Amino acid sequence: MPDIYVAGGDDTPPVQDTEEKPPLAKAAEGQGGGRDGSGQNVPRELISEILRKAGEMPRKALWGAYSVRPGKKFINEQMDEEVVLLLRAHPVTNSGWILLVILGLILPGLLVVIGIFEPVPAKFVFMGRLIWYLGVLGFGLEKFLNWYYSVFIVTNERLVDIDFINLLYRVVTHVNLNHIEEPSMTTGGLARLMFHYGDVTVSTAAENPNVEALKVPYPDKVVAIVSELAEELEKRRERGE
Amino acid sequence: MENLNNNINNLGPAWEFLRGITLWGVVKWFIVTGMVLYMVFAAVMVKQAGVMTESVESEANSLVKLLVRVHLLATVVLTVAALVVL
Repeated sequence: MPDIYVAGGDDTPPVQDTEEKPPLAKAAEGQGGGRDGSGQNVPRELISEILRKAGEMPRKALWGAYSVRPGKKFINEQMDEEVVLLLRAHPVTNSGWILLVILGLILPGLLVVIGIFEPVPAKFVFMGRLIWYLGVLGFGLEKFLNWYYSVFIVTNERLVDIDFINLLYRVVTHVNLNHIEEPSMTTGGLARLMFHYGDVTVSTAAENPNVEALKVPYPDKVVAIVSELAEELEKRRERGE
Repeated sequence: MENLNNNINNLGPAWEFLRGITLWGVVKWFIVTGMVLYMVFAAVMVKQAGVMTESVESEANSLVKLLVRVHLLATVVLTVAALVVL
């Protein structure tokens, strides 16, 4: 893969936000070109061509974990920016906590049948069960929210990685497509091979860590599309467009 | 022994209070305290769901907001129920 990063004295590092900005402030940031003021992006009419080369078309697969041109907006989106890919971790990666939730729903009934709560007053057993189910609901809800809203977005201008580590901690990383070096993918292990998902790592020329999309479906296609978008941007820059 | 009994009786209302403490009474207040702490978690979840739904546009956003609010409401109801029923 050619080195698609061109050092041009503009070594803008990936931008990481761990802030809690009000939405209006964020929207204001989204106006008037890129964060580095470059405003460079791949024209929308070329996106279809790039997707066609990668064997893709607008679609939504795997419960929204792999969406091509979903037509969705995201925070800090710029006026002439379009979402090309919206990725989440493969749904199968949720199987661990889903099994725990199912176990959590079954467990109280089993324990009552066994008779472990016989010495406990009935009202405590009743309230205990309700509170337990509430806890299980809360656990499941938190896991779902962290999965559903931790997204990796590829636009015609940049990569945006939104990670919710837990309920109180959010990391938003932006990397312009003309600042990336080598998109790469890693797959391995039985589950990843069976369900066709893996990690996509995009290195940048800056000191900041790489941008990663972990456990996303079809990592080969993601790498191909990101590479094509970046190359197209580079060609346009060379032509002075 | 008689002196001890006299001293205990002199404690008055405090002694009466201590005599009223039962195992299940303690358990009840543990549960209520836990539920109040859980209520804080549920409220944080409502706030965080707001931040999350602002991040990405999705068809599920309104459902998510509804779910976290129902979760908070259920927490409040169960906390009150724990106080009343137990």
